[in-house]
Amino acid sequence: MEYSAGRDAQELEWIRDAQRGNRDAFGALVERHQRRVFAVIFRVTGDRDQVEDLSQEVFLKAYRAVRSYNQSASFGTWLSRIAVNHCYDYLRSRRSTRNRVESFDGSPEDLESPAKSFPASGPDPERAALLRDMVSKLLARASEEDRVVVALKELNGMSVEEIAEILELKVGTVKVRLHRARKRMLEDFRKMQGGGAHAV
Amino acid sequence: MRCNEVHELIVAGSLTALAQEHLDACPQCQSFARDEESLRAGFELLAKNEVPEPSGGFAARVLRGLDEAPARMFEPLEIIGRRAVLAAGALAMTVMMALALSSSGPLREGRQGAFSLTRGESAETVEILLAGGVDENEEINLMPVSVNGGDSR
Repeated sequence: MEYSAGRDAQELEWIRDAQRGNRDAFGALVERHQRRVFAVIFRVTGDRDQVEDLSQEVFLKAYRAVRSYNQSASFGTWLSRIAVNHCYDYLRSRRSTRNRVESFDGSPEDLESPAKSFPASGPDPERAALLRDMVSKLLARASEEDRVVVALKELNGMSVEEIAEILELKVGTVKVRLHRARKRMLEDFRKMQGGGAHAV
Repeated sequence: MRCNEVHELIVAGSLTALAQEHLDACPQCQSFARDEESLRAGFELLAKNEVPEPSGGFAARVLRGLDEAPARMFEPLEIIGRRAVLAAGALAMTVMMALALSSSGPLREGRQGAFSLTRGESAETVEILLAGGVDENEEINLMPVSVNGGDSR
């Protein structure tokens, strides 16, 4: 997200005021960044029903920690970092309390259910729906670490540099993580199809 | 070039001329490449799912939620405070016990011997324990031994 100088100055003023305990200033920051936080949470968790509650918790955490914000990253990046960490906690607790794995943006699915294959070609809606369902399952089955990098990159459209800043990692590390995560998901994808998606 | 190396390049999305040459002649790698393409297409489809919009008044609800924040902010202090009170209580109890046992308590000089071992006995006990000479199932009687004919009243 690009900021103009005026926008930056206004945001800095809100941040300083929020750090002094001004709730209205914090409210203005919430208004400005709520969509970004919603997007990160939705893309990473895939849980449409929980996005608003989780976002609210993220902003509460941000308010409690706002005095520690030192402008080493943009406020949006700082908020995204809190959101991603909150997603990790949420995903871990969800994984530990459920035997079933949820599909990424839909109803709960049994991991043991046989994967459906999709036609090898043709951009028809049925194929698209099946493919979306399979990729949704793949993300739900992936480890939290794999899921975060892939979701931020492939679904939220963030650059490797942005992801590195959010996760406080080197760009090279993110690239490696992304590559490995993609590879694992592709292997899983092929297994779901019984060895090769187009072999079925 | 080996299939594994080509797979790495396919996932990375950076096929070299050599890899492309291998791919053109290898059915397994072609299948792998099609799957990678399908996965990529699947991500693109999933990315089209619209992000839920914040409902009206979301920011106001966040601000209302902040009312609970100050209480939560002091939670760590409360925990520390509670622990400090417990620690002080335990210390006070220990001091009182020590005072009671040392001179004016119910267990006076003569009876103290019932609990204590001489230096030699103590060393012997340690040696037995270290040598594993006590059966785990054997009960060890740690009850105070009555000095004056078993009547401790």
